[in-house]
Amino acid sequence: MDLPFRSITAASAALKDKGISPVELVEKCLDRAEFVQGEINPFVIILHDQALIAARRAEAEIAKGNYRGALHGIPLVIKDLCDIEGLPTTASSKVRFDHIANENAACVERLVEAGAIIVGKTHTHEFAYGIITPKTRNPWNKNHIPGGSSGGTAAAVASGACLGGIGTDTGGSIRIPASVCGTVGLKPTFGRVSRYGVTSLSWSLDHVGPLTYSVTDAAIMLGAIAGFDVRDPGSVKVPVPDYMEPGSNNLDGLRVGLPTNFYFDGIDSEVETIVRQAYKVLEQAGASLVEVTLPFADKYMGVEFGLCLPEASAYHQKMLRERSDKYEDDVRTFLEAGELIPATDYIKALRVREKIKQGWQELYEKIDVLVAPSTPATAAKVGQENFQWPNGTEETVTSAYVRLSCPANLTGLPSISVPCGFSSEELPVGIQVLGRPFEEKTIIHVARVYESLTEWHKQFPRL
Amino acid sequence: MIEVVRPALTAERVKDLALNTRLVLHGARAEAIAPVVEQIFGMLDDLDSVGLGETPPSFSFRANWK
Repeated sequence: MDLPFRSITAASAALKDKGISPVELVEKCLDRAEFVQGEINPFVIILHDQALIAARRAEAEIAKGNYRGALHGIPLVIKDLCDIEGLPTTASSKVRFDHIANENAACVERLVEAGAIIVGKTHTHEFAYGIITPKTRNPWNKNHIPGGSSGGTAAAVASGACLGGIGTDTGGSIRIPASVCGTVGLKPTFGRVSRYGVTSLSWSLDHVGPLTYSVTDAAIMLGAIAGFDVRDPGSVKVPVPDYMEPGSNNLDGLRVGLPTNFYFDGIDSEVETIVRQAYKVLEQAGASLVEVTLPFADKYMGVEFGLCLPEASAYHQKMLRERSDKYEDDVRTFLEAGELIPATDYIKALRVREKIKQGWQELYEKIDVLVAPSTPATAAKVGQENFQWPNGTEETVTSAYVRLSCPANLTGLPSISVPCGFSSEELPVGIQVLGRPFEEKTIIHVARVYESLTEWHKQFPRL
Repeated sequence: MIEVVRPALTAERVKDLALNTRLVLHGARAEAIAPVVEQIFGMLDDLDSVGLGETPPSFSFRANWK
């Protein structure tokens, strides 16, 4: 059975008008989640009892006229890297078999305050350290991966097992699964959303954000979770605008950066054709395309890995020594390797990051947003190790996916991935829109206008 | 520019380096991570070509309490 609504926006209108009750909606969602779980396994746990109790509470509140807003009564999922009080945060790892959260992560706390109903916790690549999410499959084709590390959330959203969810993004872990599962995924500016209560992969690169059916839904969720939090040292005290404020329905006067290097250097030709078509849509909406050359492009991966590896190994230092046999082999290898990186090299990577930031700041003098492919290929097959590019080169799946995502992590800039087409194998393709720091509103506007001119988001996997 | 090249990472050398971080690696593990570390070192050494001058690192630290 399908959910009666795909979007938060539509469900929220029905809940507000009492066309459906939160209990009815959550019951239908739980039924769908059970079915989807049997097909592609996005959930670590489905929270039947807890969700129904929360739905009854929401129903009573709405009946009394205490409607809290667009997320009141809306079923959402949370990546199992984020703490929910009283539940294990497994990070999809045997290492964390005994880790029970004693309070909610900041993002969970804010969603619950907004009235959202948490229906389940979703799989991640172990400790978010990878882009496969091996326990879950892609709803468009079960022989393919859902991407990662927020693969469980993306698969659950794409298959209609919930109306939205939380992911985290250290090197693309929101945008990669969003792209290959055909959902919207928004990585906010570094510091915009608190990471308090979220298991860290790399403190200097971690971000928390939503994955949803539509751009408007992502804006609704971002509005709920954004804001300063003193408990997160990376959190920034800047005003949170109203992301739902209506904007124009065109892109007149907007300068869209079209990269001439890096993003199209190693890319599947079919994906490239689809993405280049998306630029034409943006142009037809009034945007002017400005060709740009990205600074320090050959250094991005070195800085991403140079920061992520030692930080992750620092986080896992004790656990790696006490429970090394409980890690999956790929994650253990990265953690052990990260132990051997000298602090001076780590700090060199931090300094180069600053140069990259300065270079991008100059770049944005010529443009308002940069638009690029979210991933250079569609969802890899389960077990696939490499992609072959048209120029004859080969690249590992991990490197390929992270390569196009990591600039937004290194620069901290906000980036939203939206569906922009399908391959001949009927697998989704995504484009990402990157904006200036804390200008999520601009990228949401661009993505929303693009979405309104296309039909890609209206296609659903046949599960 | 740093001109000294890092020596090749044998399993034995990886074991020694790991031990220096108080991490005990057995033979198979050391062999498995040696090429990964070499690859990362290669990427890090490539960052030497960026003229850093007085560029400070982008640490995330906030001294205020609220």
